[in-house]
Amino acid sequence: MLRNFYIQSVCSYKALFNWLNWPAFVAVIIVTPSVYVAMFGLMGRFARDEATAAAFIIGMTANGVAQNLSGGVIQSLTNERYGGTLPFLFASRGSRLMMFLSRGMLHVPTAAMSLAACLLTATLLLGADLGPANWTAVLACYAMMAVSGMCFALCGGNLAMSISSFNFIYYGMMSFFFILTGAIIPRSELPGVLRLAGEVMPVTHALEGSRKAYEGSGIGSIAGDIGLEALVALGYVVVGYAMFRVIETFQRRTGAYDE
Amino acid sequence: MDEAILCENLQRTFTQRSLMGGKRETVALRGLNLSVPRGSVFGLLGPNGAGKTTTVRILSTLLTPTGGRACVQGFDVMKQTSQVRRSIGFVLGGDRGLYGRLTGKENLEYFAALNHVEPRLAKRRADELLEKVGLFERRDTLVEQYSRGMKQRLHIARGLLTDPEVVFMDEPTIGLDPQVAQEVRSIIPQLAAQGKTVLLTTHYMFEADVLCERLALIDHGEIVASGSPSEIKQRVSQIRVIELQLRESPAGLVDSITALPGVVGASALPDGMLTRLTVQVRPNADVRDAVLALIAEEQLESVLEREPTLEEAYLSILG
Repeated sequence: MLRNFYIQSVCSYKALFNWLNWPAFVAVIIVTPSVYVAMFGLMGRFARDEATAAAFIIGMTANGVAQNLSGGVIQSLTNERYGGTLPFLFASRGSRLMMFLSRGMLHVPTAAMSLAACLLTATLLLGADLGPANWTAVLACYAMMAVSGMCFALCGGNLAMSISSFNFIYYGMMSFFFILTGAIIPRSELPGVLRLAGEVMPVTHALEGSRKAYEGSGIGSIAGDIGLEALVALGYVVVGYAMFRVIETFQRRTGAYDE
Repeated sequence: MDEAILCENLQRTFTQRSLMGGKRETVALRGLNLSVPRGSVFGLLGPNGAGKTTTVRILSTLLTPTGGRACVQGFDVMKQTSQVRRSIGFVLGGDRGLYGRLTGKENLEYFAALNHVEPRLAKRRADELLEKVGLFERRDTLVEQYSRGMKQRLHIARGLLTDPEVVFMDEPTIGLDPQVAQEVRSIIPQLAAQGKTVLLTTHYMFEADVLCERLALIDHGEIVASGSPSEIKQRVSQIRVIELQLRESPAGLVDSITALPGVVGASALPDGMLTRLTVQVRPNADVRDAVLALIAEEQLESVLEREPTLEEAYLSILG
């Protein structure tokens, strides 16, 4: 079963991830998040002070982890429809849960590349001081952030697949990451409804945890944040999987996704 | 149970709803009845939109019927989908449906994993099938670099990965050059020789004539004729065909021949340097001399009388 999952993960990653070629990978996974970190870090420093710059750097690093990963996962699902392979998935005997999760799995390690690029930009280019950070806790937050981002993107991927539009869903999700998670705008400044929406967004809780971990808090102190992030991830994966099954049933009933 | 495939009063209506609340219904199948014996090659023929692909999609569990019943190997396609999926393989025509950024071999190994084929067996089977469809030498080439014919052959290999008892082939030779189409066609009798049941949909009459033991002509979602190719041809045996090859075809000749008593129809088509004139006549009508009287002797290259072809039978039945 594990081998089957491995084959599906590797093959779907190679087959369906549009940015898996050197020019696109470097531009999207490495350069773009680094540019965001540099731009917002410099803006914070220029407009206010070093603390604001650090807050923006941490926020945009989290954003970089979730954003590119989401793009890859959404592509994995929409490309099944674009390429006409969906009928062969739905007529197969394979486990639907395995099929669904395998389309996101290898994008989690890809997010580590974006994370490394963001942190290198922050320290080497901007000279940010990440001195007191508890790195075990920081990395635990990013790992959880990547997992919840993947689950959220699997959900969004279903929508993108059903309306046959990568751009609409991807850029919509990116706006949510920017506005709702506290990456740039402190959540305390958001209107009530948006603050509430931020509670159920991936990244939000792990980002809060990571801010504490950068100040030196250990795993024990941020366990609550990681736990909440895990709950959000679980919620999205359950909803996403249910959507995937609904799409399959809808397809069998209507034939709507044949083209 | 002698039938591999059974459809009883199979119906499918597609409904499109607009945002304004409007509803448009398209009836694709209106009570289709079909019985395909085990181990046979069965052809489903019909014009575009007749319901061939809808039938294949229902039988391969991709689409649910809106009425009636369909069984494959005795399993109901609605209630026993996993048993049906275990017994079938399907080949859809066209460029899509494969992963272009994987190699041919990776595609097969991936679909084998998806269908629970044990990994070692999957590797062996992938190699055997790539050899069988003539792609073994190109097994490590990305599919996006394959020609259309190579993709079609890979589609066939994928359809046979699980060693299915029933294979659905939906226009497998469409758009292929004659040599590749011939190679693809040569695989079908091999499958039948292994005891597999093949349901083939095609537009090509000669293909159906050569490959299929039995045929059904489908039009507007209904079977309008079925039987062996020779039985279907006999259904239009009230027509005889006179075929003439002419060095040149005078203007108005077709109209003059059509106007002769006993002639059902006539058509003239270029045939290399010559023109082939096909005249369909009623069996008791003696019009040969009357037709020849309209053609100058120096214009005539050859003349023969023959039984109608499957294509002529098809056109006669489906109008």
